[in-house]
Amino acid sequence: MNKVYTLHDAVAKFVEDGDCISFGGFTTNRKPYAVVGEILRQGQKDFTVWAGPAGGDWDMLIGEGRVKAYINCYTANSGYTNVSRRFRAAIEKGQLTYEDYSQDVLMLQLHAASLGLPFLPVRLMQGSGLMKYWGISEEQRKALDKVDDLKCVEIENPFEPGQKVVAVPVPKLDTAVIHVQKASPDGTCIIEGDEFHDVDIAVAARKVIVTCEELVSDEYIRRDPTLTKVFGECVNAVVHCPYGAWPSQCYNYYDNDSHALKEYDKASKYQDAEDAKAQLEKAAVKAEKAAAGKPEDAKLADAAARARKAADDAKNGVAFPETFKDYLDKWVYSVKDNEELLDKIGGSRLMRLKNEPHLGYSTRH
Amino acid sequence: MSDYTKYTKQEMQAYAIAKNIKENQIVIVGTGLPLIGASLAKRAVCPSCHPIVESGLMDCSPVEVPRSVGDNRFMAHCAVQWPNVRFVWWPSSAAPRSTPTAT
Repeated sequence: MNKVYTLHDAVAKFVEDGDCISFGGFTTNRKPYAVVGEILRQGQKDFTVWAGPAGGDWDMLIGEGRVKAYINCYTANSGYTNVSRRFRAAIEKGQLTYEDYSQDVLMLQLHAASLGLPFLPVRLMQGSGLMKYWGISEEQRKALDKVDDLKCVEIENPFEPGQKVVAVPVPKLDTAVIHVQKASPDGTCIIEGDEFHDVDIAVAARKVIVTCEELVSDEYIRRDPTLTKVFGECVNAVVHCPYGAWPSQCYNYYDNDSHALKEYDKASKYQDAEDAKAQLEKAAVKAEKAAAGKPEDAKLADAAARARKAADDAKNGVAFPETFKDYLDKWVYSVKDNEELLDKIGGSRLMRLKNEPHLGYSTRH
Repeated sequence: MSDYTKYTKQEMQAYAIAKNIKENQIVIVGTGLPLIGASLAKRAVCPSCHPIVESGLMDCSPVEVPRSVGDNRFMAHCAVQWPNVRFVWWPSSAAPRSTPTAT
């Protein structure tokens, strides 16, 4: 069966408002950014998210207000942004309904979903605040139809009387999106390098979109069945999307685009121009106060002058820093699909990211 | 000759981490300074140690300092690329086995 779709049609058909959804990849590795961009362009929203080790992928969707409930262990473009900034701002402003599990528990929950377990007993999180403090209260949980009524509950191990274990719920995923190195029209996937939780969510979810670096024939992908990782019958849509994980990495194919990740780190400090003006003014006032407290410190005086200039420039419309909105306009909304995005990034820039086989990454970017 | 008096606090911290890692030891490493210290240990101070990370990569031996535990710099040149869940329980079960035996 041919499951090949365009990026637009796959997302239009298989990503729906209100879906309980999970993405593959790990912070800045094999994240399905092509689909993230397409979701942003098409407007789907109200997601209940099992994010796993997320990065800029979910940070963008949070910043654009598409997330209804976020179940997560951490969200970071590690090495570039150690706590993703729109995620952090949304929590600080109380705008994100958010639950926190430890990473080990969350990965086991996604794995349990692939095994069809009714619930999962673990001996993790015990004695830590993760059991005591709930991001989403029991009352709130009961009002959210795709969030389990309880975060966790301590039970006795029926096989070891007296031993307490922690029962946690198993995700009921509507949609999974993974980016792989090779896929064939019937949905069979080869994942090179660490699979992370990608196979688990592809097995568990009701609807699965695969984007791939290379679309190969059904015959070719079976030449060595020791390499295939996802059974085609798990998959609904296959989309040929070279560099579909950009700006994250893809093992054997390309490295992080550190320029893009650094650009996002800076831009995502400010939601939009208004937010930039307010934050720069606040920073200027703070720097001026610090300088006034130590008039003999030339460094503080210099920092205050620079902060004041940045705040005034933004206020008077002379110079604005790039914001989150600007970044999305530049790299998501101003392109119609992944082909236009690749043209915009540019051939030589993409070639510099190309994997060096003897190292497994790129030293040229 | 190199000037060993000029170093940053972070460089000294990375060195201190590397110096604290023992031969044959399994080292559970997190993103940031710990992975810099562990990379230094594996490549320079005690190559018999086994850095393992929560993304499931076992016995990482990076040529270049990785930026995260999921970085291709760790994924290449490691012993085994396990899925994350394999990592979760194994380190606690493996601890007694990791004690080097006298020969």
